[in-house]
Amino acid sequence: MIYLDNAATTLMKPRSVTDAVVRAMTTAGNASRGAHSTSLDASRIVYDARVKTAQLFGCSRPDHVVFTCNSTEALNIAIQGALRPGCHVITTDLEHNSVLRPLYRMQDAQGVRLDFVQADRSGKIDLNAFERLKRPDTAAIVCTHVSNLTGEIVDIARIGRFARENGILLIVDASQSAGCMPVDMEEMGIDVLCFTGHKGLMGPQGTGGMCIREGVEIRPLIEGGSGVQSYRRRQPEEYPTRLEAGTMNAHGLAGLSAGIDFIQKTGIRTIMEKERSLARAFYEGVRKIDGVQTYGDFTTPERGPVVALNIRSYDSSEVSDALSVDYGIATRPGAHCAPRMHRALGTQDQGAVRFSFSWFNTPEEVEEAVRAVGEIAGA
Amino acid sequence: MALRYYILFANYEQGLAMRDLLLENGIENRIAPAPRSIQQDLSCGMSLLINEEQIEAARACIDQNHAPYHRIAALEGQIQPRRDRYC
Repeated sequence: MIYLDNAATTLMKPRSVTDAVVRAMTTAGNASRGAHSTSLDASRIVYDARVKTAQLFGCSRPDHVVFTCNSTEALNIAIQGALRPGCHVITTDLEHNSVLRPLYRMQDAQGVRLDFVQADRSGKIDLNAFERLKRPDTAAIVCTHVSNLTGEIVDIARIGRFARENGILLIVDASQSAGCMPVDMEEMGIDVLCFTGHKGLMGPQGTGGMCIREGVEIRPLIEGGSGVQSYRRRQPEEYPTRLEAGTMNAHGLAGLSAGIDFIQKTGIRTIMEKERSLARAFYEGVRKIDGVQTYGDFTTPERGPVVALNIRSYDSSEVSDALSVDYGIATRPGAHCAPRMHRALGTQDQGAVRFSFSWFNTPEEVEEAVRAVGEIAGA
Repeated sequence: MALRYYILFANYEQGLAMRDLLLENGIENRIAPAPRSIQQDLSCGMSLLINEEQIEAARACIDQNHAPYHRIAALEGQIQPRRDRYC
């Protein structure tokens, strides 16, 4: 199989990741639940993962790294735990349902007022729109770093400066950028950075989290056992236990930790350049094929390693099925949990076929994918 | 192009259970992405492709077992059918 669905999850992981998970499954007890060696082993795994995550994302406080199952859980905690009823929030058309649905819920249930920075037909947003949409009661901006559909990179540093100047909380969805390009929450002015472990960070599914700037208050979404302060009626107030209830996923976090080690050793810019190079080669190969339409702005080299396309008026699901069955190429068709972006691109009915690349893909795989698209298009 | 018959579902759990049920009853099917044009708002991205000759047997099996699904839809194929395999 040629796996080109890395924006959904990376299939190929470093051997060190799987080794770390297997090792943890035979050594790790329950983190923060005792002082015997296996519990301490688990606590060490989780602590190391916090330190490495903080270093990777420029978070000054490792104890402000909170682990969750994925980005969606982190975004739900951030959105539902930071926003107050009736406040005003600015978000964008680029967002995934992991941002949109909790925001819509807050809108319906708590009177949160939403404004959207609209995307144009190429999936780009006008950053000046944040200024136009700002109101005296604007409490937060929730924004993706990279579109999961087009690979468009949002200038988070500029939005971060705007947010800081105006006292607005900035929550960033780094699902598609974490591990694929540098992300520094201090340099970018990010207050809450939400990430997943199983995509660019090359860790196992079931890992993810959030980095919280010092001074940012987020209410817990779930409460329960923390292994500490057990006679308190409510969840501990200190991060990270404030937002972590129940047994930690030490097995998964051992893998995430190894994934971050691999990224740091390889160099995130090296990874970024390779992935971009693969995506660019694919784009250059398909863009001249008669009947192929790509989506997004390819005039800039600075993009996420994603190319979304359609062939003629073919249903994107049928194209993806043909790629899978006839060519052994795994892609993602349909809506990509990004309904507003598809509406902006005009692909609401057809969907799009998304090709997304990882460190472990090869130029030969790209050539094969280009050839397959050409054959399906009848070129 | 020939018509293709898709069983659509509200979620993957329904779809995978249906695939097992149909195979247990000798009704061949193949998992395929659900075409956007027939998904509507209530179905998921997974569907089961079945042969036209087995539609009635599938319906009977579904009814008999009260198996949940969204709907069955027919759609003309758009790409040359080099991949009509029901395994």
